[in-house]
Amino acid sequence: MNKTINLIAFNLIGKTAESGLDDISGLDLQPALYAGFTDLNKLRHDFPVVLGNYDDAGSFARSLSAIVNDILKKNAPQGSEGEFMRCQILNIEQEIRENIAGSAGLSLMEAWVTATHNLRSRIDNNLLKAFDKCLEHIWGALKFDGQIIDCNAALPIAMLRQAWAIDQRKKAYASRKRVDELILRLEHILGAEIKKSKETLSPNSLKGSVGSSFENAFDFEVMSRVLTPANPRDRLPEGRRQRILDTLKVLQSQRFFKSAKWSQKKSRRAGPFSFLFKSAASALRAIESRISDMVELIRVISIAELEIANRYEPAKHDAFFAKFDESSLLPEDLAFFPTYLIWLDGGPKGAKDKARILKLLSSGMPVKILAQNEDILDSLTGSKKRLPFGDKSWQLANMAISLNDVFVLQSSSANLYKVRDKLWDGLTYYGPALFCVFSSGDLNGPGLPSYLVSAAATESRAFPTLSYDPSKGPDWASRLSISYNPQLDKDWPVHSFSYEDEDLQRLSEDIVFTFIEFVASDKRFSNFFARVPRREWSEAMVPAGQYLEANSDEQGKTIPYVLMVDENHILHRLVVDDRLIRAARRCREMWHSLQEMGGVHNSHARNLLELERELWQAEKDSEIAKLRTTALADSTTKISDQKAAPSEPETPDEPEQAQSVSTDDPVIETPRCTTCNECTDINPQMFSYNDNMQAFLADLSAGTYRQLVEAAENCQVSIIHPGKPRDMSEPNLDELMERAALFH
Amino acid sequence: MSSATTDRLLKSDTDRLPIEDYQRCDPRWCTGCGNNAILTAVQKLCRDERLPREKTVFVSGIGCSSRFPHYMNTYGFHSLHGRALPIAEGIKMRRPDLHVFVNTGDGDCCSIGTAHWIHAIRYNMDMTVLMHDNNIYGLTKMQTSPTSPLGLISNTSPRGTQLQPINPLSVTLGVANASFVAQAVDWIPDLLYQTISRAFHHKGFSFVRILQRCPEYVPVLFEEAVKDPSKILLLSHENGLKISADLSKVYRNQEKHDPSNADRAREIAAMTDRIPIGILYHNPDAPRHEDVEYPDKLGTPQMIKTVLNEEFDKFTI
Repeated sequence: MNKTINLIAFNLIGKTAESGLDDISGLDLQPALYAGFTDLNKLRHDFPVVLGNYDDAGSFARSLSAIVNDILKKNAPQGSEGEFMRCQILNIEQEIRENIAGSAGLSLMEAWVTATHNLRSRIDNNLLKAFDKCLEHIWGALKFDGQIIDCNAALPIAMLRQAWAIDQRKKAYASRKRVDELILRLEHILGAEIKKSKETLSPNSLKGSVGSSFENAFDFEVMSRVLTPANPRDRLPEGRRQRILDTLKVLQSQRFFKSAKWSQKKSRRAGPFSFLFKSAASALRAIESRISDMVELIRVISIAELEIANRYEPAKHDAFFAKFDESSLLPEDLAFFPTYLIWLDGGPKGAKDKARILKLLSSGMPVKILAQNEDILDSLTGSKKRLPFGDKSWQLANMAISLNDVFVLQSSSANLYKVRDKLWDGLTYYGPALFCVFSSGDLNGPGLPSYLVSAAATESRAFPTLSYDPSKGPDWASRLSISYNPQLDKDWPVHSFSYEDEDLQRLSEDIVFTFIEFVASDKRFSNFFARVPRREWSEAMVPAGQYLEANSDEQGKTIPYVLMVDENHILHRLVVDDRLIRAARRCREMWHSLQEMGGVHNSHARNLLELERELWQAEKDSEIAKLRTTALADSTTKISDQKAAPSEPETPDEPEQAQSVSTDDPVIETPRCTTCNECTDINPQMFSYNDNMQAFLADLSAGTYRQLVEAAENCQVSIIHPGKPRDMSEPNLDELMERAALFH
Repeated sequence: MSSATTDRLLKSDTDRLPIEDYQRCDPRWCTGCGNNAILTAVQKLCRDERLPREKTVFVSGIGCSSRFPHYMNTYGFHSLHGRALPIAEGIKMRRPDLHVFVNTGDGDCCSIGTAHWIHAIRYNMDMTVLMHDNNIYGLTKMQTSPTSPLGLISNTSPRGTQLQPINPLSVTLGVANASFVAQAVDWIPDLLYQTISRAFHHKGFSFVRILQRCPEYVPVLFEEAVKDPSKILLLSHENGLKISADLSKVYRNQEKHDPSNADRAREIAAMTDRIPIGILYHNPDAPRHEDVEYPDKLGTPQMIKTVLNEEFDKFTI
């Protein structure tokens, strides 16, 4: 009894000295589930990744394992024949994984060469020849190269920058080509004018254009005299010429894209703008100073396009372009410009910075912000009595989502490779995008790989993965995706854990990985835990996951613990401070609301379903009751009587009868007319064409019955029906009516 | 491609030219020629799509049908026999902003121009090709053409043609990268217009074979089909032609055919008992030559000068 009180004392007030429990700050404990991941280099996983610099959008990042798998699939023979090659290549992969831990900026090829060299020095002499042959074969197959990078703090910006550079290059190529084409086409318009000028048609100019070889064969004076009057007199209006010249000036001096050489020669001007920033303030300043240039460029592009299409009408368009300003820019036009990549290392710094980020995100400009956070638990530290959770990490993403047209991706760096398609979608999204990435630094002590910590952040719901893509559709269901989270229908992921007890018997149990386990792996929070000696373990102690699920009555009777292992792989139980339990609850609530928005356990949908089910049930109940009453009432009547009433015969779905037209009236089936001019040639007053150039009877009184009959006879598609004559005094009517009868 | 602002301005411009503005002069085709109906349908399309006359070009080869550009008040190129397609390709390559139409006949396309036809299908450049098929060489007064039916007596086949005709639909469908294949007849103007309109809106090489009556030399050839609606099979689909209620009353043979179904399209193309009308095949995703092979550099005067000088330098002695 006494022991239990000690545990509760710690749980509630967290004072180790009074509770008599062991302080854990000196112990090297890790959550039990980490036991299998002590050496990540031995495990094939998504990292390291190779950042390829290829135009193919999908391959800006490929994991080393995927590259090796691909090589083996294509090159290693099936079965035992290929076993040697598979072993060696997998050894190289592991060697690379171990080597790159201490070096940065290596390319895959460089890492490959070093790894093969190391392996070769260790390999048995008998196998050397086979090893070399295998390597030679594989070297040729190694097509994908680029910087190789592990899951660390440098990863998020490296990955994003790689994708950004590829996108930027493609975009710059297309936009530059567009601008250069416009310049060329506008110059063509001016060029045509020059070709018509007196100067061009002067004898000297004509002589120059023929060249020296044949200059004696022509009389250029005569040629000039002949050509000058034949020259068309329509000249480019001065207003249009000036407009084209002004447009050209702006197009040639734009600084958003490096222009082709030929258009650069004319002026010595400032180089292209830079689009990479390290703070929200500097990006904001740059955008503000460039906005007028952007407006001007879009304005002149539109003018140029209208001019080239020959659709610029001063009366209509002058006023529109005179008032063209920032508010006239359309989102699709903004996408024409390069994207601004803003890397906020450590996330926003203070409220002012947050306000700037908000301003950037709501500007509609193509800004891509990477808010990289190395520590999502910092709000738990410090001297604060209350333990808020997630303010910093979740707030930014939530704020951006609430802006409605911002692309948002939240992911830990360990998950970044899995969500690389989303990363690309965000970069190529036409509007602003925010990437919130948690990448573990060294804050929580040495020893734990960054990959493990950031993967655990996702696993424990402390930093769930989410993407919000406004281009995917109009509603939450299509925009928000949380599918990259593990076991997303559960509160916390559950994993099976096996160990040996004191009697060396294998035991297995399911362990729930909660927010508490995640915090327990962080050395800075050791004072929220206390070790319970093995001899004092009791039934009142329950795993934290189970404790979190229990109601308050049950919680009162139990004490939460987390299962940890030390460096010797011995299991320990740590009792948990109640303040941490409260933080975990808060984390779970936030996860619940994210689940709801992502369509998992949605309360509105559940209520609606319940309501529909009740309505359905009520309807069915009443139907059953009605059937019972009817059955009772009809039990005395004959079955044949029930069948007596025949159902009304359904009106056949006949096509609507054509309105009866008297065969006495002449008719043309206008829609079938093939415009052969036969009838209009006979009498253009009587037969005429409508707006679609198809014949109709324009004026019956303008012609004779004979003409009507002749037109019917000449009609190639027999659509003229002459009917009966109107004027009975017309000669030879009997003969005509006989001929007309064929066309009734 | 143009900016969203330009698009918006152009869309707000609702002025359109009347159909007369697309007419140049009275056509010099024979009495009752089916080409008239094709001309009207195309002029109607130009009006409805508000095609700027200076941005539209009709290219033709040689034959009755190839007189078409003369009657359009747009740009035109009445070229050499069988060479309409390479010229149209050149125009599209140099001036992708133009709307390119090709008018060719059964002789022009399926005989002397066959090689160009096959490769034009493969290139899949964005143009609308109207193949006026009257089954005869009409301009030279009735010689057997590649599509003349078996047994047709003509100046060159006094005992009747001995060879099976070529089926332009089957051939087109058999070429890799075919992207739009349709058939129309000149005597059902509504469907002719719809088909040409769908062909125009397809971004790629749209091939429309139009069965065209030649009352002067082969008046009996399509007479039965004109008069007996049971000889016609209309292909309808939500992605194909919409058949009006009035037409449905006359033409009761109808089939719901999905234009993305290439296998069924080939079966329909090979039909001999009825004339299928509608869109047989449509693949909007087939790669276009202008998208997969485009010059890296703009043809600026300076660039052309540099390249020419480089070439000339090769011959410097």
